[in-house]
Amino acid sequence: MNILVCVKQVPDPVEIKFNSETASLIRACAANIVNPFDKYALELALQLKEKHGGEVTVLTMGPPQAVDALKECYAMGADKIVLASDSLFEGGDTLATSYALFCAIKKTGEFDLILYGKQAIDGNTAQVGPQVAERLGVAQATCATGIELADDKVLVAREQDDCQEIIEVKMPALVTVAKLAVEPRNPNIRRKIAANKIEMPVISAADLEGIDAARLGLTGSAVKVKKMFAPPVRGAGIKIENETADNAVKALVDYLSNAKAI
Amino acid sequence: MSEEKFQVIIIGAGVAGSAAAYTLAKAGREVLVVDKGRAPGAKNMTGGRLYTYALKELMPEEWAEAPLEREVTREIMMMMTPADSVAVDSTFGSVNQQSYTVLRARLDAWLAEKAEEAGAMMVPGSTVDGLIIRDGKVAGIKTGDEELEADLVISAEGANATVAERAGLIRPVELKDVAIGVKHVIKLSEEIINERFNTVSGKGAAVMCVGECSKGVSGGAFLYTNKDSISLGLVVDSQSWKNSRLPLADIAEELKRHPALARYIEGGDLVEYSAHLIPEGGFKSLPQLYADGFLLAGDAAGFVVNRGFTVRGMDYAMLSGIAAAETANEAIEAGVYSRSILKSYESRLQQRVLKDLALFRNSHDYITRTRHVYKTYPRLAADLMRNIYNVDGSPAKLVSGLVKKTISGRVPYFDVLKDMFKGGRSL
Ligand SMILES: Cc1cc2nc3c(=O)[nH]c(=O)nc-3n(C[C@H](O)[C@H](O)[C@H](O)COP(=O)(O)OP(=O)(O)OC[C@H]3O[C@@H](n4cnc5c(N)ncnc54)[C@H](O)[C@@H]3O)c2cc1C
Ligand SMILES: Cc1cc2nc3c(=O)[nH]c(=O)nc-3n(C[C@H](O)[C@H](O)[C@H](O)COP(=O)(O)OP(=O)(O)OC[C@H]3O[C@@H](n4cnc5c(N)ncnc54)[C@H](O)[C@@H]3O)c2cc1C
Repeated sequence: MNILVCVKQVPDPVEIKFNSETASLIRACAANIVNPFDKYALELALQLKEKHGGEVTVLTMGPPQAVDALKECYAMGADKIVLASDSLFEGGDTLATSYALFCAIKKTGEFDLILYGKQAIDGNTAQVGPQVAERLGVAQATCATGIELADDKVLVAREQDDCQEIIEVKMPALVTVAKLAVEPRNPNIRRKIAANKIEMPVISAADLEGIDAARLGLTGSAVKVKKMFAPPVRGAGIKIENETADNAVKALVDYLSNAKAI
Repeated sequence: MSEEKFQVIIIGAGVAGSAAAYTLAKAGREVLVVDKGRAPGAKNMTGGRLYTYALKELMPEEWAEAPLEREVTREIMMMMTPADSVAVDSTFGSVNQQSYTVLRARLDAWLAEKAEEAGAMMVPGSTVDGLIIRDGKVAGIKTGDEELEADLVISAEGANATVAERAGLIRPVELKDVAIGVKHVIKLSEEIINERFNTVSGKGAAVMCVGECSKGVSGGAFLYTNKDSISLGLVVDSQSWKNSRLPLADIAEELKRHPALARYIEGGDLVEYSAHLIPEGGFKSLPQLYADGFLLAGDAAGFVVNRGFTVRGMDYAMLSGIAAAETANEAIEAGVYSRSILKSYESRLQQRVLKDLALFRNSHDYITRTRHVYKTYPRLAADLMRNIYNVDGSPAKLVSGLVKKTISGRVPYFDVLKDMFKGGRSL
């Protein structure tokens, strides 16, 4: 069984800051993490490998610092890691991203199963996986919470609110993965040490035969962002302090009636 | 590296752990540092002042590139009542790079990077659960279902050293052994800080406060100027805090509103809030510092001196990290990791760390038992200042008379003398 997992490095939402003047994320101060859904996808891939044997490869397209995400995946147990990095890939929308990934996947190898996270927590479009499936011409299933192998098919349990849905797709297949019942495993120290030392193959656009540069990055994007703005910040509330209970209540009632709220 | 065994494994990438790792790696040793934080220093905290001599000793050349915030050239000691404050404000033109304010997230990340560059293996994001002990000798660490072996393990795991404690190498932490610190980091621009503290970029102030800041609980507050933020927090004695039944978060919150401090942080954004234990047992509570295959460094060993107006721990953490590394080097060269060799650690520490701890052996008791310091004296100081400057047309008095008027009935003269005398001999 050859499994490929595509992961994206995203800013840690805990530390994210927004520059309201330029209306953009301050990426420099945010730590980066592996997109949480992609970690579930990797966990699922590793479980399948443990059960059925085979190999797990992890691919990411991103800037050079995305190696940290790949090293984390290697430490978790991936057998191979591949970085696709090129300034031509920069600034793409989902269309351009899925095209670049499609080309990179074809270069990386043949896979029975390709796993994606159901969505990336920064862009949140949930479009990249399905688009890649279309480009590859393989069956797809989205929002999986579990996968069973049955000969040349996979049974996919899908995330549903009020029922259990299990669908069958033929391999090769592309499945996007939602939150699992188990948390992704923590890498052990030996694996982390090995990850620190690993040599990483980097694919650039020039390595991808027949790639059409016009379909990459910002140039290749169908969606153009016209404007970004932060929603207005809500001002601090009013505190009534250092008053006796009676005076405080009176101040509150005065305030509310002046504001015509009561 | 031999596949299965390290020469030294260090638990914790705080200042003590990274200092030890740096020194060992420079000596060409195979050293692994395991830290539970996502990145080294991610969760570590301190008040804010690093006495630089220790950093210079660790890295005579590279120290100047360290992410130090501001050199402390202005020292303010403040006594506070609920509404008033009296401060002694000293500006030192003569000090030269003696101490700097620091933020741990930056400092620890940098130290860890230096240790890594020197060849140490840094593995953050893993928690050490226990020690491998074989024939009474520490032989490695356990994390999750993994075991890693080493000739020597250095615990630099900080206050509340649970790994060493679980292995029975130190006794469990008791209330009297620790103080509790909380800290807010408040972001302001560099220019505003320069203006408010009347200083230039690169230089800054340290403020120590006693009195209302801790609501009568034994302890004190501190304020340090960083490059573009202010560290404001307090350290309280755990027993006295427990007796007071006051929520610490509330005390810290009110501290920010005291008029004497609020003016410094006005308009700033709270960017960090943290709480941490501080070893306070001092000389009397020192654990056994070494065992077969094992050394304790930094807070894990209790190397902190709190004199009320300064807390020192980071410099001792660095010195003990260096001393532990030197001891490990000696052991590796001899190929012997037993107590008989490792006891030289204690002599290495004797001259400075242990000597200081011995000298200030009574400071903790003084600070926690001298109750007038927290309520009465700040009140007296504020009243005396007010009486001295008060001119309302009534017949004037000599200063001596005013002192008498201020003190009388509040506190027996004998107590004042006793507190002064004891303070002089304890702090
Ligand atoms: C309305 C809108 C407009 C946008 N317009 C632009 C624009 O004009 N220009 C621009 O630069 N950006 C734009 N973006 C951002 C950009 O489209 C996305 O960040 C990027 O294409 C990936 O999509 P996503 O983050 O939504 O991923 P999703 O589709 O949510 O990701 C699903 C899964 O795909 C995989 N995946 C995603 N990205 C990668 C990757 N790089 N490598 C490997 N696997 C990956 C992961 O498994 C992930 O879990 C826009 C976003 C939105 C929401
Ligand atoms: C409020 C406050 C104010 C202070 N003010 C000052 C001051 O102004 N000047 C000064 O010099 N000192 C001050 N100190 C003391 C100083 O901060 C400490 O002495 C110093 O941080 C000790 O460093 P350390 O490396 O020994 O421990 P720590 O800095 O606590 O580092 C311990 C490391 O071990 C890791 N760790 C712990 N357990 C495990 C485990 N099981 N597995 C893996 N990793 C683990 C932690 O993640 C951490 O990185 C102050 C302390 C406090 C709390």
